[in-house]
Amino acid sequence: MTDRDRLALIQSLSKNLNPIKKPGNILIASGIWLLVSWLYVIFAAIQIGPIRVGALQALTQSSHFALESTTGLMVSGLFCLLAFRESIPGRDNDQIMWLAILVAAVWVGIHIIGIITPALEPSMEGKRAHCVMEAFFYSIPPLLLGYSWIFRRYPLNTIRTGVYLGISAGAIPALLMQFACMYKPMHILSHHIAPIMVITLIGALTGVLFSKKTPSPSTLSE
Amino acid sequence: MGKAQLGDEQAYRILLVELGEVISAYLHARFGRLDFVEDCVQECLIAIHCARHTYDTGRPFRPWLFALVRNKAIDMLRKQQNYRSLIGKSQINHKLNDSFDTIVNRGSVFAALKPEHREVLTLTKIIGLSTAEAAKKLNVSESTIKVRVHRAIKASRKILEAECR
Repeated sequence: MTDRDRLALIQSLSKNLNPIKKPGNILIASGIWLLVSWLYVIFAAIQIGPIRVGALQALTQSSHFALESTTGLMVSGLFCLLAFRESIPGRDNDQIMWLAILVAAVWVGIHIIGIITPALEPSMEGKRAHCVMEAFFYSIPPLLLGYSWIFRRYPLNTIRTGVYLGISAGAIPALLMQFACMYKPMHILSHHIAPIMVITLIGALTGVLFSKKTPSPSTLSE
Repeated sequence: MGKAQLGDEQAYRILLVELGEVISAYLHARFGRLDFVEDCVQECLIAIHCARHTYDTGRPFRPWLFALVRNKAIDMLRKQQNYRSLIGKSQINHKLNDSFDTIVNRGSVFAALKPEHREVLTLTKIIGLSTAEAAKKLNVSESTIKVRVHRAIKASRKILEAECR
């Protein structure tokens, strides 16, 4: 290609230029996605079965349980913020990424510690028959909603964006199951938190599918 | 860019012409006078066009622009495989006889790479040898070449990102 080709390209790109709508504030967009996702997951989970009796009160009675829940909430929030920030080129996300990884490690770590010293008395009370499937399937619609929102912008690394969104979408039902299903740290790790890995993989694969195909100059001029 | 977002064709044209020069100079300084640089400039201009709605006029323009440019440059480097079909066998042989430094013309990114990374990128992405041919030339296995190419591209990305910090 030559300089003349470049000028022709610039002509075609600037021809019939329409005003464009700027994307909204990232914090607001990610906040809305998080809120809508939470409402959807809560609504869907309640359709299948009730919240475990005494689960909400346990938040105020056990600081360990409150910490487990708060870190889970932070994981979904931080990874959601990261995914939305990835959709705008040039944002430095390194610090938030390390914070999110740290919080996620703490979240899993607290549950591993909980195998020895559980936050609440482990019991089968409130057990859901298919909590693994619920944790998995509830996160799919938020994942797709997030994709349709984020990929209207311009994420440069679609796989990384997919991974962040997958973790965030997977963490929402995982945390909800903390209240809606039986409490036993090993069960939480294997049945509620483990599905996040599958969702993350789906997120990454969807990122591959969504990876930007640069349009040709002729397409752009039409 | 603010005017371009409002649909001002003239302002957008001027911006793209100027950015074309800036990007061209940036890429030449980092990758030497490689043939793929002009292609990359045009890919960057298309990316700027497609991503122009994501630029926030209240924020600095440079990080946004160079994030796109870095991304496209690394993408182009990674996908640089069809070069061989564009040039004749005699030219390949001629280039093989040149020193690596001559071929990459001391682009700062190549200069900052480890010698084995620079060597493998030159052979596979610039001269256009296949993995098997590069492996034979360097007396290493094909998997070693693949690993080195992967690491070289990763290192190139890090070098470009480090400049912006």
